[in-house]
Amino acid sequence: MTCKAYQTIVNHYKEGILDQEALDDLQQHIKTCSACGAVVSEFSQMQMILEDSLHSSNTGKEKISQAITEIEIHPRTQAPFRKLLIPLARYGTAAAVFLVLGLFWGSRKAPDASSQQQALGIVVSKLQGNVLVKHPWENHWQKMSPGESIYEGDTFLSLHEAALVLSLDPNNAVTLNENSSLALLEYNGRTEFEITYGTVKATLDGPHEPFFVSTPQGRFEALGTEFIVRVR
Amino acid sequence: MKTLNDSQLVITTVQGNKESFNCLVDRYWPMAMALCLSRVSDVSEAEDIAQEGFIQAYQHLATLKDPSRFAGWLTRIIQKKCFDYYRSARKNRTVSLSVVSPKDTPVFTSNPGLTTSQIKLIREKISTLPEKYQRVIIMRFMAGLSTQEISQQLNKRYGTISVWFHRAYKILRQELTPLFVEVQSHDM
Repeated sequence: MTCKAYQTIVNHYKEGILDQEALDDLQQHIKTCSACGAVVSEFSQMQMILEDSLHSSNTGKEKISQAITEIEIHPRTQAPFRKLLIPLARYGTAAAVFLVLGLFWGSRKAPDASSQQQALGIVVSKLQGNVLVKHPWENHWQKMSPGESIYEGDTFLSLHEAALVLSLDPNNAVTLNENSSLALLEYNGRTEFEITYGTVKATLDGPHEPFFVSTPQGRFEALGTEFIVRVR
Repeated sequence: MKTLNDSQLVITTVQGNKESFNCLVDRYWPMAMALCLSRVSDVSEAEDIAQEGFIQAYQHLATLKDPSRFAGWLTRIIQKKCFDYYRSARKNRTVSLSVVSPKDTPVFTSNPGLTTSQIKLIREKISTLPEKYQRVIIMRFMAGLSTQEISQQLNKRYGTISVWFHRAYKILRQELTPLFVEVQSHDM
């Protein structure tokens, strides 16, 4: 236990945040204060013990030096998920919004002879973590895999630190953030997205065709090319 | 090169100077090894994990948003590697054959007084600390970073790191008190 007058200073010494003047002052003090001297000495001993028990040879470093001569740094790429996981407060939130994203591409369907239903022309362009899908003809969830076909009536569920990017075409994409659920439903002869809860980001090529948002209060047209909606 | 700070070394590495990265390795190898040794008992496994951690850090260096936070970023990579190692080891359920050292034989270190069992005890006590305390203690003692520098590296408030450090130190002091007495009596 230190003396009261120097308690804070000794704590700062242990933290390594004393300037030289304060350090010199402490060094002088411990010459006459056995209490503070004991604490400082104990700290030095702890330092020595930890360094000795966690000490290792330097031979392992050489392998790193050799390895990096043969590999390259991955180029910096945009991380859509990390951007999406940044707090969304600046985009505002829509409390209890039941949102339907209307898209006029819906007639694009790719024939898929292996399924009773026709797969939509939507591509899973990115998949991170555990994202589950439930097809309309099934009662259970299954983990999504890259390259999986997408059908009308599919519901997607992203778990913690998971995300999914669905490319509608090269210029339009919908991103499902973590802990969110999105469904593809038929509405007036077109396939539309419905957010059950969570956060979805839409990136659209501008100028785009009419893009509708439905809420319990009404249905309105979104004019932007990139927006995020959060449903509580 | 050795006088450059972390930020400068990271930037020049990304620009193509591999020697800059070697400086970062020199600077943080003791910290990386300490993190591994506090979780993994086998020294060669710990070295492998530390090497893989640095190589992964090198490959993804361009994604580090704040180059001045290299040390904190590296600790996260290393700790995750240690966790992956444990998960893989449990899955494979192999029993490793380790050479059994003669009991209580003094081990060659800078303090010849520490025996194998004392070193093992210290590493065990560190491994029982919560991960966040482990990281702060090792960054403080093995990388020589102050609590202010650690708070900047880990993007945490200084007050938080200060509390973590003092709590971790108190726990270790209590757990290692008998060993302190042993070491002191050996020195006499």
